[in-house]
This record gives sequence, structure tokens and C-alpha cells, in this order.
Amino acid sequence: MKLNVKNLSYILVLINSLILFGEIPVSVLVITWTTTALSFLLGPQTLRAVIKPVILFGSLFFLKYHFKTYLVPEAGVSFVLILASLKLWELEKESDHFNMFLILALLESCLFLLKPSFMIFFLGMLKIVIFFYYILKIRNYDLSLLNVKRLLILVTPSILFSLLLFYTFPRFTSGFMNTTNPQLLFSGVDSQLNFKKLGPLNLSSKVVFRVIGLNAKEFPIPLLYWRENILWDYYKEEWKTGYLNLRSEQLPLPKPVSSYRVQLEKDYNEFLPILDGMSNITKSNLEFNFFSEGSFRLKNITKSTVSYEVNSSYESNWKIISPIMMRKGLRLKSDMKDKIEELLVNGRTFKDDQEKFQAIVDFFKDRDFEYTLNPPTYNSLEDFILYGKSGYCSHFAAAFAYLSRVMDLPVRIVSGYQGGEYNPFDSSVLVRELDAHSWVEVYFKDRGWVRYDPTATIAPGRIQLGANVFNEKLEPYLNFYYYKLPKSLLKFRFVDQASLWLDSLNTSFSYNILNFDKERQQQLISNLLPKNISLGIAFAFCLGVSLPVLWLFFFLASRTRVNKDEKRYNRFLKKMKSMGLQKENSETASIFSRRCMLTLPEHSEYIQNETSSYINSFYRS
Amino acid sequence: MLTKVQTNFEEKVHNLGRQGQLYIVPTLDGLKLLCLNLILLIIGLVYANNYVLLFNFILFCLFIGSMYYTHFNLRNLSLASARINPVHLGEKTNLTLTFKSKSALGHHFIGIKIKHHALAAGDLLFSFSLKDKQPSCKIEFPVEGKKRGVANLKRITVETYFPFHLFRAFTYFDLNLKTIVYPEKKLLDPFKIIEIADEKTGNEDDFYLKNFYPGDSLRRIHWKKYAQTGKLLTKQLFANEELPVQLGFSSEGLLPEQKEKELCSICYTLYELHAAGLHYGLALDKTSVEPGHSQQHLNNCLRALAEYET
Repeated sequence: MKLNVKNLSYILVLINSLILFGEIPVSVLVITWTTTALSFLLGPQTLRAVIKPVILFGSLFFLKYHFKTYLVPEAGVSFVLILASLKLWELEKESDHFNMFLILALLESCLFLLKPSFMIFFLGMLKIVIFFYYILKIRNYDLSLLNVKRLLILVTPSILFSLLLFYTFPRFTSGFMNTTNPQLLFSGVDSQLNFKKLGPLNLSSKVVFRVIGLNAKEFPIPLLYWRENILWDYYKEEWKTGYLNLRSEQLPLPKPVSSYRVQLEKDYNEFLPILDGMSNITKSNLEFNFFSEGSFRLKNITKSTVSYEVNSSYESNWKIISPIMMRKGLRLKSDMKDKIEELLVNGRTFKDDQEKFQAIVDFFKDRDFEYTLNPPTYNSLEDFILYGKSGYCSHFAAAFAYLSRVMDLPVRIVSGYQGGEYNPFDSSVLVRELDAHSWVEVYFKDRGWVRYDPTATIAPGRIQLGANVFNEKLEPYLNFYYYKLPKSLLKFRFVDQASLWLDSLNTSFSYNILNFDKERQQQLISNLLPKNISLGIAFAFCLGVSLPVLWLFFFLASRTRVNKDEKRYNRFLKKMKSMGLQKENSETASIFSRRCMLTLPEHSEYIQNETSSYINSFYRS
Repeated sequence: MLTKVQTNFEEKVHNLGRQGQLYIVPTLDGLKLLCLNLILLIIGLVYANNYVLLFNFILFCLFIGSMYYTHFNLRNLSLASARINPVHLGEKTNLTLTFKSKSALGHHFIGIKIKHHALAAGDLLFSFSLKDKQPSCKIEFPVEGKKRGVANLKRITVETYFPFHLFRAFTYFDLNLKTIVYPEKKLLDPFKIIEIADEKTGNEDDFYLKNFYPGDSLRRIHWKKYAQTGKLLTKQLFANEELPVQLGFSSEGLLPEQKEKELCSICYTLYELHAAGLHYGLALDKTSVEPGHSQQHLNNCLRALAEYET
């Protein structure tokens, strides 16, 4: 198949529909692919003219029915995708291809709406450039004319100008629309732990959030805990957030305090992960609430990227406890409670909470649990505590919390992440889905909520080595039917380095472009320009100044470079003119020099020198 | 509608008579791209998406950049000389134009347009750049005579869409170049020929036979030979041998189409007589050309024909 502009249109529509897979309803993708296939099958123009409006209006009705409104981005993106596939039906004339280019450009920007990442943006630009190249090709342009130099002359000032406009264009609001589709919410937001559903773990290396600004020398990055969500309620094998009304003002932090920025990149964002210990969020691009249990939650669940700045006191721990917290932290409804208590106490008496706590830790150690990514499914938490052999962090945290409550120790489960990968290219920490972790916080009257990680007791390597390395040691082989392939064979250092470099690029791009908001813009403008100048005036000024500057750039680029010998000869001509001798157009240099020498014999030598220098440089080379 | 606006604009500008002014207007593609810019700006603002805004600004700035590039692709282009040869109706000749440039970027995909009632022109695109040691460029632009008479080619339009076809930059160069469109050189009816003055008489038997030329008197045709051989031969009297052939024509009572047809035949005859090396003269209603034989004479005759009743 020869690659031409028509085939390229098909390829781009299909690629974009595949990129949008999972973002828009499958039915829209089916309509798109069917429409694309029909462009091959439907021959007669009249038949096409009848079916086209049917598909178009049918799609509009369908989108209204599915999304309830056209204003959610998914509805708009779906419509543009269907429109692009319909445009494939009429790619005959040159103008059709240009119209297709415009629709594809619109489709690319739709991709940026749903998948705002550097790679998607970069690939989108690349696709558009390639498509435009083919548009120029069908216009019979001699494309060799668009060589590197000319393209640089055209593209460089345009890119600089566009960046200037981008940074000065006034951000009136943080958007007029709620960019989430209410129907898609809550699928995947993990605010509960159902013990019965805990099965084998699939490890995903997808980045959940990245942290910028933490000093790797100051912090033991692989050992850090990132708290996200607190689970209080235990009812029928399920741990839940509890919906406690603990909303409060943020608290002052004990020193030392570390500042860093978090960029959250989950599919659906509700909880804001922070470094374990006491923390305050100082700035966020979306509104959030603080809960005195030590968690931060967005006011509205969103699909868009969240960025916020945090101050953390890693060494400290949360101390607040209210009656409701105490009640929730101790509540345990279980038929097996007495039996487990008997087993745990074993006729002993405990002086204080610390001894109770130690008894639970000892019980845990005695049970000889094993860490595994493929545990069996247990009927109940009690079943696991009494007879279970293997599990992972969620099993251990849930069991430890259960035992603590049996012993009347207030406890809560903290779900979040542990560890992370340090990226030396931009000094950021990447926390991935495979770093997800659970631990518990036990309340002691004198110390407050103290973190305890039961997994560290069972499998210290999981905490010390980090999830990635530990799991690789745990499962060093990839199972391929009956064969086992060592995972180490598939690891290449340069691939890891390249992916870290790309990630740092993505982070930097996201920070400088995607998350460039009103506040940062005002800060930038106030740093660059005198105070009391509004953004509108700054933008108008940049636009007004840039256009002449751009013109000047082209003017200088198109200016003919005058040779130094020619300059010298021009000076000579000027001098002669001041002496009353002007060179006629019909005169050659030598004839003019003879005329000059006749009129000004006293300057003969000078005239002779200048003329011969000019003639030598231009005619005898 | 856009075409109408564009035509009106061009006519207005054309009649301003300002030479060297460079105009630039967006093409339909350019306007479509501008609309897309507007849509993307709204999307970017409504959904507060910086990628869409940046993409939009890049497209917009490339649009502005291409405007400047198109402008500079035509800027500093000057017309050094222009020449055109006379042409017969329906035949093609070349308008020779020499352009000079002072632009380091060169000039690419420059198009020439001519709007003239008497001359029809095709499309021509040319490029030249200073980099290739080509400070000037000689263009042979084919034009076709479409109406008999003296054509004064006042102006030509030079335009470009380079590099992205989003803008059209154009300018006018004053030529004031006169050329003549001669009648079509075509023998329409060999027997319906022009009356030739044949006043002199001599010895009717003292003749020799020569090939028939249109314009020869029908009375001199050797009909007997024609019947025998099927070939037209004319009796050339020795007494009249030195006398020039005098062509005469009057359009009185003729329809315009008939007149043009007659002029075509005269034109053809003139060439035939010239090729035969004969002396010939031309007498039209108010104009007459004395008998003679030279290229200049032929040109004078043809010019008289071209200017006849125009």
C-alpha cells in the first residue's frame, strides 16, 4: 500500500480511535470503525449522501442519550471522531484533504483534553506535521524548497512567538466547565478494602504520582511512606473510610519541615497522597479538604491532573484524637472476637498499651506468615488470622488492625504507597502502582498515632528493597507456558535510563505547560514586568510588539548580504557623487573610472585602486 | 461569495494604478484555519486545557509566520524588462519577462496572471533564488491572441501562495507594452478571393503558366488546364509581369463575421505573396500600403489589417 494523503487520513483516524480506547464509550469506537469500513464498501454517491446524515444525526442522538449533555469533553471528542470517520467518505479534491487536516487537528486537541501528557502532545504534533507535509505534496510543491534552513526561518520565530503568547495569554478562570463525566466517576477510586476480594496482585509500573523537590540525600527515598486514605470502619469483611466528619483547618507543623510538589496522575483523583507524618498542603490547582485524621481529599473527584505543594514534617506523627475517632478506632463487630482474644491474651495481663501492642507483634511473629503476591482467597479475616499462611500488605494490615481492636487498642489502616524510584535527571521521585501499600496506625496516649508496618515484620525485604526489587526476587521468572524466562534477561540499563529521562521530560513539560495556571502566570509577569500592569495589557503589548519583531526577523533573513568589496566600491561611488560625478547605469566600472580620472586627475591613484579592487573581486575570480 | 469579494477587491486595487504595492489576503484555506484557531481557543478556555491552548498558539503563529513568509517571497522582486512579439489570432507567442531580485530568501512558486481582452494567458509558475547565482530570471510566458487589433498590455499580476497556501500575496507591474494581434492566417475559400486590380491589359496570348496564388484574378485562371489536371494555374501575361499585385478589400455590406473571414484570407494571401517573392500592395477602405516586398512591408500590411476597423 502506497502511503499517500488519503491512506494517511485512514491511518490517523484509526490510531486516534485506538488512543481514545478506554476514554470514550466502545459504542462510539464501533460507530467510527463501521463508518470507516463503509467508506470502502459504499460505492454510489447517492447512497452515501443518504446514509451520511443518518449516521451523523444518529450519533448526535446517541451521544445525547449516553452522556446526557454535549458539554462533557467525552461527548465532544466522540463527535469529532465520528465526524473524522465520516469525512473519510469524501476525500476526492484537494480542498477535501485540507478540510480533513482541520478535522484531524481538532481531533488531536481532543486527545489533549482526555489524555494530557507530553507524549500524546508530541505525537499529536508529529502526526499533524506529517499530514500537512502530504497536503503540500498533493499541491505539487517542490518540497525540496522547504529545506531545513527555510523551515527554521519559518518555524523558529513562530514557536518562540507562540510560547510568548501562551505565557502571556490571560487565564481568566480555571475553566468554565466541570471536565468530568459524572457517569464515569467512582470506578477505580479505591476507598475500601474488601478482604474477601483480595486475590493475586498484578503489578503495574504505571506512575501514580511524582514528587519534585525532595532531597535524596536528606530522605531515604526507598523507605518513605506516602499516606493517602484512612480506613476506619470494619463491617462484614470490609474496611471503609468511615465518612467521619473530620474536616478541619490545617494544623501548624513541628520543625523540621520539608517542602515539595506532588503531581498526581491517576485516572481518577480523589485523595491527595502526602509524605507520612504531619503535612500541610500550601497550594493546589483544585480545591481540597483537610481531615484531622491526616488525609487530604479533593472537593470533586476529577480526571484531570492535580498538582499541589506540600510542607511535611516527616519525623512527627498525628496526635489528634476525638471521641468519634476513639469510638471508630475501637469498633469491631465479629463473632470470632472472643476466640481470637483468648488466643492472643493466652491468660496474660497487660500493664499498658505498649505491652498489648508487643503481644500482637509477637503473635504476628509466631504465626510465621509468608509474603506472596499470589495468596489464596480467604473466607474471612478471622480465617486468615487463625489459619492463613500467606498474604501481602493488605492482609497483614487488616489482620493487625483486627487484633489491635481485639486488644482494645485504637487503630486505623492507612492505605497509600511505600518507596518510589528516584529519577536523577530531574531529582523527582516516581511512585508507581506497584508501590501501593497498607500499614496501620496505633494510638498511644503519650505518642499519638504511631505508624506500624506489619509487612515489615513479615517480609523486611519488601520495605528495605522496595516493591520492584523485592517482587523480582520473589518472582524471578516469567512463566511462558511450560518455560520460565528469567526477568533479569529482559532488563536493560539503558532502557531504564531512557525511560527515566523521558519521564523527567514529561514532568518538566507538564510543570511548565500543563500546570501553568493563573497564579504562576501572575507571578511570572510580576517578576518580568513592572508592577500594576495587568495581564491583558501585557498580552496586548506582547502581541503588538511581537508582530513587528517577527516582521523584522523575516526582513533581516531576506536581506541580501553585501560583499565587503562591494561595500568598499559603494563608498567610492558615494565619494565620487559628492565630488559631482555620478555613475550612469550604462557605464561599466572601468569606463566610469576613466571618466573620473579625466575629471579628477589628482585622485587618479585612488580611483585606480578602488576600481581595480572591485573588478578583481567580481570579474576575475 | 469569497471569490466575488476577491474579484471586487482586485479590480479596485487594479484601478488604483499604484505600482509596486504589495497586497496580501488570506486564502479560503487560511480563513478555515483561522476559524479552527478560534474554536481551539474556546475549547482551551472552556476546559482550561493548556495543551490545547499551546497547540492553538503554535498553529496561529505558523499562520502568522506563513503570512510573513508569503509576503517576503514576493517582496524585493522587480521587473527589469518585458518584450512581446506580434501574434496572429489564435496563435501563441511568448511574453518575455526578466525579473530581478534583491531577496536572500529567493522567490518561489511565483505565478503570473494577465487579464486582457485581446490576449489570453495560461498558467505559469516559476522560482528563482539568489543562492543559485541567479539574481535575475528570464521568463517566457505564453500568451495567445484572441482579438484582432493593437493590444496594450498595461499590467501583469504577479502572485504567490508559497509556502503553505494560506495566504495569497500579489502585486502589479506596469508594462504599457503594445503588441499587435494580426488576423488569423487562414485560407478559408480559395475561390472566394479578394478582388485584385487588374487594369493593365496586354497581349492575351503572350503568357506563361504559374501556380495560382490566392488573390490572382479569377479571369486569369487557366480553366482548361484545371479541367485536365485538377491543378489551379494562372496565366501570367508577360506584359504584366513586372506589375505588383494589388490587394483590395472593403467591408461594406459584410457582416462582422464575414469581414473577419475575409481578413483572414487576405492575411494568408499576404504571406503567400511574400513567400513567392512578389511585389504586392494593400488597399483597404481608408488605408493603403504601397506595393513592395520586404519583411517590413509584410509587417506594415499585417499591421494595416490588424488595425482595420478596430
